Amino acid sequence: MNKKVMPLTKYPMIVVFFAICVLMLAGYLLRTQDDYSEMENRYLQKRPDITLSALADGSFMDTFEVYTNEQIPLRNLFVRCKAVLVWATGASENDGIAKGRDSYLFDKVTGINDGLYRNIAAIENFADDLDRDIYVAVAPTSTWVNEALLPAGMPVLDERSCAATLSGKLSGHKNVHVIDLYEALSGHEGEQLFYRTDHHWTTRGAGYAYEKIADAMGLTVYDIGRYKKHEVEGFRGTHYAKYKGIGIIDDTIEYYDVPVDSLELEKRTVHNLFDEEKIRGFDKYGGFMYGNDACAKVSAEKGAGRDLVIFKDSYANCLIPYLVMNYDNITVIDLRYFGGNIGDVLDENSAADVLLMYNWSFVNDDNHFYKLRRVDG
Amino acid sequence: MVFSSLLFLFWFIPIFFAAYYVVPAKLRNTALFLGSIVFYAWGEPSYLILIFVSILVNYLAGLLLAGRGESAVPSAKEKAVFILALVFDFGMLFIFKYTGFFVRNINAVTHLSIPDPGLTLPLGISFYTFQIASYVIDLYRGRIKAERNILTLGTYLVMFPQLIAGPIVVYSRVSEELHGRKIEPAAVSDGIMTFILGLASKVLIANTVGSLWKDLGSIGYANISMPLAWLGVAAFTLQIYFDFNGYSLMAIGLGKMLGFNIPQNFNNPYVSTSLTEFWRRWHMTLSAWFRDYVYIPLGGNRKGQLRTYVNLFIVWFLTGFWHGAGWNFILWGLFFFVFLSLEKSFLAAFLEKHRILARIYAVLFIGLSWMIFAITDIAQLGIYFSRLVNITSAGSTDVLYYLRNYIVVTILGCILSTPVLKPLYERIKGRPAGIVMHVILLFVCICYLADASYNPFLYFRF
Repeated sequence: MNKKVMPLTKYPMIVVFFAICVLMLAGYLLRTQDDYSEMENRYLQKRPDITLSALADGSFMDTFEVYTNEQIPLRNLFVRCKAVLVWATGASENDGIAKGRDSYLFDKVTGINDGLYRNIAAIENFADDLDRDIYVAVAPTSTWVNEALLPAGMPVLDERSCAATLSGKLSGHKNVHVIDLYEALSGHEGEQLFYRTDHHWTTRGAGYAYEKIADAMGLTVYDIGRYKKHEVEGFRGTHYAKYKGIGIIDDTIEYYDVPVDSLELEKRTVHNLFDEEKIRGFDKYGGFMYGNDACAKVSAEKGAGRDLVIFKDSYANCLIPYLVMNYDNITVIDLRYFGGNIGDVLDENSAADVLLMYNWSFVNDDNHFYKLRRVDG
Repeated sequence: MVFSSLLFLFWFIPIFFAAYYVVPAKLRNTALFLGSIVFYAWGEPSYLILIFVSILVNYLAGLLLAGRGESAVPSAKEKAVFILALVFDFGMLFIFKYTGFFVRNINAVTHLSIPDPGLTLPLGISFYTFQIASYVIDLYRGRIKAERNILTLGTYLVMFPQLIAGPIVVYSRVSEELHGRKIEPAAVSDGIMTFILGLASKVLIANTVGSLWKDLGSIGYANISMPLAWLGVAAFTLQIYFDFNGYSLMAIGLGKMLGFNIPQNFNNPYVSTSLTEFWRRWHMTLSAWFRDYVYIPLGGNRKGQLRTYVNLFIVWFLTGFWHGAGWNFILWGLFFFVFLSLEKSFLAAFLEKHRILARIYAVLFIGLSWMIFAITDIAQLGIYFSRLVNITSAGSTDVLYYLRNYIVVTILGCILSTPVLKPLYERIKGRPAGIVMHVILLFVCICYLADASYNPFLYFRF
């Protein structure tokens, strides 16, 4: 044995290389698997069980490969080192997120998806089937609003003209009112309308959208400043979760204690609009409306005499507290998770206003708009 | 499975090599065969059967051709066996790779609607077909002996280093090693370093510049400025070299770790001074295969000028078509036919006298040829070429973003495409500094793989 092993010391490359491979394998086998990556804000694949059927159709192999990538020992160290190395080459981009001036992070969206036209068509069909007015508000993204802060020459999609196409198609339908949030969010230089490290707008940004929406829907614009304001510091959002580099400025989330009777979620009922549990975790923006729920019901009876049904993405979560000031009851539908019948919801709220509130890149990317229809039978 | 994956590095390598080094020498082929089957089946279990049938058919053909001596005239039976074996080997390649292409084109011309069976390309079929064909052809020519052990022949065909994307190893080159090889620590150590270099080429350079190229596709060729279009040419030119050379280096390194000498596949192709020279330095095992099994059997350049050009045309048409079942690949092959013919007739003599001009000429046309290769849609290709000469877009700022993000890796890629650093590398390779360098490279590769969002292998399509 010794005779065989001794010469290997003359070949340190062999020893080091196989030591690394074997140690990493041992790491995979011995360490407890993580459910969730705080740093990247996503769930991680665990080691799959071997079954004959999974072997036969190849799904075991595919899952195992994802597991190997996501559960690599020292994952955070490796991922972080990569981000710093990328930064060290002078690059402004890592994993599709680019850092611009003033430490703002931007999502690089380079193309229109085919899904966009399907989604627009779904909204049009929905409007045609409906015997009442609907309001459609499409929010710009940080890339459009903060164009002056983008890294030089970064490719951007002409999002506004895409949104205009959408408006153009929808305004051909008599009962559809398009609300132009692009106009509402422009011309506020020096104010922070979007987070630096996250794709969402800030509470302030949502406030300008609220004024425009209220105006369009014939609501009184109330001042949210009369309620107590809270600040959550040290927020690093979804853009940071991908970028992971250095030179980041943390964001601060603001929210207001707008009083409600109840917020009825799928699994429980609460009595405020912000989940304070989320403050300690990574996903602090998820505090608004307790995150995305399939169907949440806000009741805040004040004799306003108006109800609202809102179909929305996560942008709306920090906008809803504003709307609560105007409505007695708001039904909040997130089509990504909704499994019920839209028809039932509309029948239950036969006199309610209907608002679709999405951000542009969601309309471009999402593939759940097909659920936006009455299911018969 | 691909080499540049954590799965290969940290599961396959430790488990497979532990087994391979521990088993007695006479079981090494068995270990290599089984390991290669796992490696291949990981991505595509359903096509294993095709490989097994191919091994069996060629093994039997080999036994029937075993009596062929160098000078003897082949019997009618041997001729028939030989032809049937080739029809089987290339028939499989043809069916799985080209059926869809021909069905679509026949439908387009005749307005029929023959259904496209929609076969997916079995991984590595273009490569292993050429390898096994070399066995049958050399046997028929009486240059090698028939393999009596089916496991040995099977191991040759499926051995994982070069199964999927080459280098194309002809049977005669490795038959000795297949029957008994020594595993020398010096070669293993060397192999590990070669493997790491290949991994770094692929992960750090090819994948990085590759994401620039991918971006141009999603922005849309019609929307990019002239400078960005040229940067795109550079990016793809670097991507395909570091991708494919990286893969070949990994294969050669793994071969050494197993006790095999897999031939060199690239020799700094981008420093060529003509396209003829480029093809002596690029994918050398493929060019050699076409030379030995197509060009020379057709008569090469010994049957007069006209026949020489006809032979060149056949070789380059086939080279193009081998790379993919699409018109752009045929166009790409014929592009080289035209330039190699021009060089043969007069251009070479001119380039000989103007060395600097010759380098610029070679790099420029190599880069442009890659566009024909990369853009499979002919209309899109036209758009791309129109952007390359669109002077009015020259002032656009889009190139700034890409320069900032990719300038370091682009420069690094350009330097590493030439042999300038080779003497330095050879000097430090065996020293502690060399070991440290390789370990750092491996660490950086792991970092990039752990965060990988873009990790394709270009030559897997073939």
